[in-house]
Amino acid sequence: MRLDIRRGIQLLTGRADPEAGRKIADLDAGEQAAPAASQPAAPQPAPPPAPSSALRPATLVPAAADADAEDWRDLLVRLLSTAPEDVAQKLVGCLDREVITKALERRNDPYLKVALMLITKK
Amino acid sequence: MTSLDGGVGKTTLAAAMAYHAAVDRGQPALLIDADWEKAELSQLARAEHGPGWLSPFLTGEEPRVHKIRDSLYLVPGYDAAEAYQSYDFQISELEKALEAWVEGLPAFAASRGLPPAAIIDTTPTLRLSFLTRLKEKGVRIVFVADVRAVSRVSDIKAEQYASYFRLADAVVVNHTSFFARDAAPYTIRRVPTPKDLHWEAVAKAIIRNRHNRKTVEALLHKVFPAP
Repeated sequence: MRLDIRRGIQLLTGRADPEAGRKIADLDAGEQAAPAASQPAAPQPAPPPAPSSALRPATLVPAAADADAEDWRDLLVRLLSTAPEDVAQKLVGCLDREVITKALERRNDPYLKVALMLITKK
Repeated sequence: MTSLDGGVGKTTLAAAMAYHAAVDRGQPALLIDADWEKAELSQLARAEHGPGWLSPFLTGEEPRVHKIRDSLYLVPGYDAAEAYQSYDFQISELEKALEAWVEGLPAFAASRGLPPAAIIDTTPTLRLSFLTRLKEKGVRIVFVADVRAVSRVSDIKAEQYASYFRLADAVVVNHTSFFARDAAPYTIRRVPTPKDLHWEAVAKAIIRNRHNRKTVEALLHKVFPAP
């Protein structure tokens, strides 16, 4: 007997959104059929540590942003935030302010918005 | 709430934590009885028989949320326990359904006015790979053990415990004596079994003990830190 994971998560979330629970449903499908040879699975970078979906009271970041594959802005922010401070400072010094602003604009977070306002304040 | 061995007190500790959160701290609490072997929490809470946490995946029915007290809710697990006994399930199926709950819980809770955080009671010896996936989704793992965890039974057992300890956000040793109360960061002292095996009587019996109440309080802070 198999459980219908996709239907279950749609029922829980009240959405007929095919993206809802996609990862879990895909896990389900992955066990039944190997990926087609013409569509090799792209290597995925490790996802950033996700906030607790079971525990977080409210999400500040739209789910879509979480679900998107990482682009250069995510990688840049992660690099700057994890590099040793002197290296990060040197890198920031080399980067155009607009580049950093663009990277920060990626996230829809009220705190970042305020930080951006301060950065771009003339 | 997870464990390596059965009968270590996961369910009663889950009940005590939910009781303390809802009744003593006035913080709404949601319990999910995902112990697919026994659904003991549902029984302790005298939850009505009906669609539980597995039904959305099994029959397409909405789970019936049982209000067991003001600000305290339970998603029962009778359906999962029956399915576990009746059908030829792969454990991975049940794991995926529980993982889907973790993903869907914020939306489910928001649409029904339930607290956005839940205490999930589980079956013993969940696979480490599954617990790792849950942890990656932000679930905090409370590993409950009894004195077997601190008395070396065998090298194999010690290694098994060590694997779970590494994953756990909090390790609780249950049923300790007064003298062993500092055997682990979180310990629950053995208390007399109440005559009435009802969840509230059990929860009260645990937290009536001052040391236990402190432990439960500390655990709640650990797993549900203030936003």
